[in-house]
Amino acid sequence: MIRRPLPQRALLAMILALLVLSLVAANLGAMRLSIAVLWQAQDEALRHIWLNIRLPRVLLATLVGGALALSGCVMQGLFRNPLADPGLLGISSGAALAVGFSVVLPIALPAVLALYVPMLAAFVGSLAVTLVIFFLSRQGNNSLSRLLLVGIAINALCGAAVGVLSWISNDAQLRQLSLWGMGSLGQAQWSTLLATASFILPASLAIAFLSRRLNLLQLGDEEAHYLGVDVKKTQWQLLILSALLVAAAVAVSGVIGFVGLVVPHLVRMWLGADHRWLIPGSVLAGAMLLLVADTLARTLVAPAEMPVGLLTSLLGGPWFLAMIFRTRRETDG
Amino acid sequence: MKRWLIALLAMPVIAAANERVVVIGGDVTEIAFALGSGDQLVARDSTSLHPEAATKLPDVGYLRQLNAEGILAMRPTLVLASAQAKPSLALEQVASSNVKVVTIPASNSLDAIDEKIDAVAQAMGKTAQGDALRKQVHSKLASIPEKPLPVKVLFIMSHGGMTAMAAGQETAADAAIHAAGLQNAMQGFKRYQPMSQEGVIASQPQLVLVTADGVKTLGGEDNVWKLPGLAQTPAGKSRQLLVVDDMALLGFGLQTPDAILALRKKAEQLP
Repeated sequence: MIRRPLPQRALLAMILALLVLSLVAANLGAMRLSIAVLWQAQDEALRHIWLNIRLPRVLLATLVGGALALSGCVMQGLFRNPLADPGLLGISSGAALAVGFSVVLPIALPAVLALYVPMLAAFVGSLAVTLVIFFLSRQGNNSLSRLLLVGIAINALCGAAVGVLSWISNDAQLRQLSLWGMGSLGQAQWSTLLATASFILPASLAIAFLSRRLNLLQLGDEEAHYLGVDVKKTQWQLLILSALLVAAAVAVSGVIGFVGLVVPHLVRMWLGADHRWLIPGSVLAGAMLLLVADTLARTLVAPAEMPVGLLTSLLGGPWFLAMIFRTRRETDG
Repeated sequence: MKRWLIALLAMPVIAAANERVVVIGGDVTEIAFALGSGDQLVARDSTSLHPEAATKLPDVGYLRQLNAEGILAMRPTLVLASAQAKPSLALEQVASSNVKVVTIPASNSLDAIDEKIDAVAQAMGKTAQGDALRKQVHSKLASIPEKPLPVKVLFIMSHGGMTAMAAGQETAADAAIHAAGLQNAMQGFKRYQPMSQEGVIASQPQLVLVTADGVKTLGGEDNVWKLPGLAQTPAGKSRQLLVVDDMALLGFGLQTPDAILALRKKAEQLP
C-alpha cells in the first residue's frame, strides 16, 4: 500500500500553492510592475496596465490550464485509457480546424454573438471529433494503439485541412491563423476572459457533479449499469462537457498541447484514481502548470514574448515518450 | 519670475525632445533615424535591422506578434507602428494605457514612401526634416525611367529549406517590378506560390531576382539555376540574375528607390 496524503489536505495545499503562484505571476512580466501599484496609487497608468493587461492574462492562464487538464482527466476516465488527451486524439485540432473555418469564411453576426463565434465553432469541431473517436473506439476492442492511430489520422486530416484553409486565405487571415495556431494567451482581456469563463466554469461544475459516476464507469459498462448508472447517458454528458472545455480553451488560446495528458497523470500518482479528488486536483494542477509556462513565455525573452504552446509541447513531448516506454515495459514484462 | 516664464515657455519643446519612442516596422525605423530622431528611440521590432544603430535597441518582438506589456515595459510616450503591425489588440491595449499610438501607412507603392515619411515626421514633430527627406526621395524616384520596358522578371523567394516560391500578383515584389517599369513574368495567381517546373518555363523570365538570404540558403548563385525549370528559361540560358536586399526592394522605405533603380539598370543592360 502506497501512503497517500489525505486528499482534502492535498487539495487545500494545492489551492494555497495556486494562490501563491498567481501572486508571483502577477508580479512578473516584461514590465517592472508589482501588485503594490494597486494601493500605492501614484501612477494611474501603471494601475491600468496591471488591471487590464496583467491580471486578465494570469486569470486566463489558470482558467485555460484548469480546463485542459480537466478535459484530459475526463477523457482518460471515459476511454479508460491513460493516453487519452484532447491534443493526441485530435480533438484540439478538430476545434482548431473549425475556428480556422470561422476565420477564413466569416459569417455576419451581431456584435454580441461575434465574441462567441470562435467558441461555438470550436465546440462544433471538438464535439464532432470526439464523437468520431468515441464510436470508432467502441467498435471492437478498445485498444490503445487503435485509439492513438485514429488520433493520428484525425490530426493529420485536420492539419491538412488547416493547410488548405491557409492556402486559400488572404494575407491578414493567414497571419491570424498562424498566430493563433501556435497557442498563445496573448488575447487575454476582460471580455474574452468572461466569455471563456462562462463556458468553462459551468462545465467544470457539472463534471465535478458527475465524478462519482465516472468512478463507477471505471469498473466497466456492465458493472456500472448494475450499480445504477445510466451508462449511455453519463458517457454522453461527459463527452459533451469535455468537448465544451476543449472548445473554450482552444477558441481563446489556440492549441496548447500536453497539459491535458501530463497533469491528470501526475495527480493520479499523487492522489490516487478516485475522480472525486482527481478532478479538482487536475484542475488546480493544470492551472498551476499553464500559469508557470505562460509566465515563462512572457518573461524569458522579454520584452518580446514566445508562444506558450511551444513551451508546453517542449516539456510535454519528452514526458509522453517516457510514458510510452514505461507502458511497453509493463506490458512486455 | 522671468526665469520661471522662460522655463514654462520652453516646456513643450523639452517635452517633445524627451519623447520615448518605440518604432515597429523596418521602414518606420529607417525613416525615424533618417529624420534625426534616433536618440529618442527606446525600442524597435525584430524587422528593424537598418541602420546599424537600430540593432542596438531592445527588440520587442516580431511586428505581427506583438505583446502589449513588452512594448509598455519600455515606458514609451509614443509608439510608431506600421499598419502591418499585429495583433491590433496589443496596440489597442498600449493606446488605452495613455501611450500615443500612431499608425504609419504601409501599402506597397512608391507613393507610400512619401506618406510614411510624412506620417513619421508629423508624429515626431520634424516636419522640416521630413520635407527635406521627401524631396530627396522624390529626386531619386524621378531618376527612375518611366518608360515601360518589356522585360519579364521572376522574383523568387527562398527561405531555409522550404520550397522556392514565385511572386504572383498583389505582392510587394510585383509592385516593385512594376515600379521599375518592368513586367512580372508570373501572371495569373496571387501572393507567393510554390514554383512548378512547367509554370516557370512557360513564364519565360528574362531576369531572375533572388534575395540575398535566398542565395545563402540555396548555397550560392550557381544553385539558383538548379531550381525547377529555371535553366530552361531565357534568364537561365544567359544567367541573368540580380541579387537583391529584400528589405530594400520590398520594404517600400528609404532604400527602395535605389533598389528599384538598380533593378531598372540591370534590366536595361540585358542582352
